[in-house]
This record gives sequence, C-alpha cells and structure tokens, in this order.
Amino acid sequence: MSIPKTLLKSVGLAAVLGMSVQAEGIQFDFKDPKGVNTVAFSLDAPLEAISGSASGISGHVEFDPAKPEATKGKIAVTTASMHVANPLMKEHMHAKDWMDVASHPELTFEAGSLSDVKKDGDVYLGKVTGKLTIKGVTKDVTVPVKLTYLKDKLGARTNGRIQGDLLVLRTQFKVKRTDFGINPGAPTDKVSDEVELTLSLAGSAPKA
Amino acid sequence: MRTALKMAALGVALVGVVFWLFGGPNLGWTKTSVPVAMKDPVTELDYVEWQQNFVPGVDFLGAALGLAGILFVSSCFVKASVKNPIQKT
Repeated sequence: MSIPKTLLKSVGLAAVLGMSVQAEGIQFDFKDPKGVNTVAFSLDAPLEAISGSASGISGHVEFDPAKPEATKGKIAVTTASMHVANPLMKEHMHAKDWMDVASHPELTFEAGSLSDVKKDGDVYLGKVTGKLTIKGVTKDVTVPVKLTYLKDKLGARTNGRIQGDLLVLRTQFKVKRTDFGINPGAPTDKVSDEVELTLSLAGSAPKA
Repeated sequence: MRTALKMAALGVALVGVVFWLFGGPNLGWTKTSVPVAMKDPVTELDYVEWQQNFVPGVDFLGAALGLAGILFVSSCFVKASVKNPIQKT
C-alpha cells in the first residue's frame, strides 16, 4: 500500500506548522544587567524578624500574549547572592546548616503551566504550577503570579540601544524552610519556619 | 591608675551609648549595610539596593557596656596611687 504524495506533503506541512505554533512564544531572558531583579525573603518569628534579598537571578521564560496558559520557563537564584544586613547572620545563612551555599549554589523554580488566567490589558493574573528546588529538595507548588507584558519597552531601559519587549513577573508566596531541610532543628521562635518570598523580576526579549 | 580605669570605663560606656543612640537607636543586631527602596521607572518594579552603612545594634551597645564594666571592675583591684607621699626622714 502506497501513501499518496499529497498526503505526505500535507502531514509534513502540518508538522512544520505545528512546530512554528509551538515556537511562537517569546523567549524572555531574566538575567538583568541593571540589577533590578530581586527575590526578597522575610521571616517573622516571635523573637526576631529577618529580612533580606537575593539578586543573582538568571533564567528564561517563554511567554505568548495570545496563549498565556502555555507560559513556561525556569528561574534560578544563586544562593551566594542572598544578603542580610548583619554580616554574622549572613555568614550563618550561607553555612552548611542553613542554605549550604557551597553544596547548593542555586535554588530554582521551573514553571510548567499557568492556570486561571485573567487578562486586563497588558496584565495577566493567574496561578503558576511548577517545581521549586531549594537545597536539593524539590516540591510541587502552585503560586499566584502577575505577568505584565510591555511590548516594545526594552528600548526605554537601554536608552534605545536595544529594541524589544519586556515581561515583568511578580509573585509572593510562603514556603516552610523545614520542608526543604533548612536547619529543621533551629527554634522557630527565633527563626520562623515560614519564609515569605517576593519575586520582582523583569525579563527582556531583544528583537533581531 | 584606679581613677584612669574608672574614667576609661565611663568614657567607653558614654561613647557606646551615644554612638548607638545617634545610629538609630537600632534594637536589632548591628548592620553593615542598609536596604534602600528603589523603583525601576520602566517596569515599575520595587527593589532594594544595599548601601554600605554601619548601624550599631544592641550587640554593639552590649559590648561597649560590657567593656566598660570590665574596666570598672578592674579598677577595684588596682591600688589607688598616692599623689603626695609623706617622705620619711
């Protein structure tokens, strides 16, 4: 039985079209040379409140304004960039019992899908489901996210040197440090088990 | 020597308290950097920029008062010097 050439051509064309549809999302690079991208963390224990931020952010997100549900990507944060105001506390935070920066240089969030998407102009609200990896422990999490698609705004950030789009990503959620093996024996009245993470990130997609 | 140690204790305590008071007064730990809230004009993202700044905390105050205490207690074990000893003939 021979397959007609026209059918083969149709299948080939469909495959090519399918691939082009899949590749329609815009790739945004979240390595920000301006140093604006930060992940803020805060812990509010009865005896002590701790807050700080991390700036060593990298990663890519694929976003299609027409199909925001298909948003996916990965954001990585270098643990060595985690900073608190007190130098001794920072030293302890980077040490083996806490973040173990030497063995776990990155924490990552890998987004798999976006659900409950609500669009309001250039703003997309939804819930992102993905895998959060901290200190080698990976957990499935679903967190609220706000995406703002700024078309042709990259030029405004680069004094017109590079043209392209921007994607602003904001999310705030809580995790338990003991779930990720971060010094589970430490007293929670001094260092809270709940850690609030606030991600404020901007990704850029230069136009060729 | 005794008086000198007591004066030194008073000086260390005063400097510690004044430095702590003018630095905040910060009831947390000593900071060597402080977060400054910033806003990116294009993306409108709020972020913090850490600036080098020494802000003494309660640990600094405690160390200063502790050192003052040690100096004061030490002074109690030192013999008072005699300014005009009576010369025996």
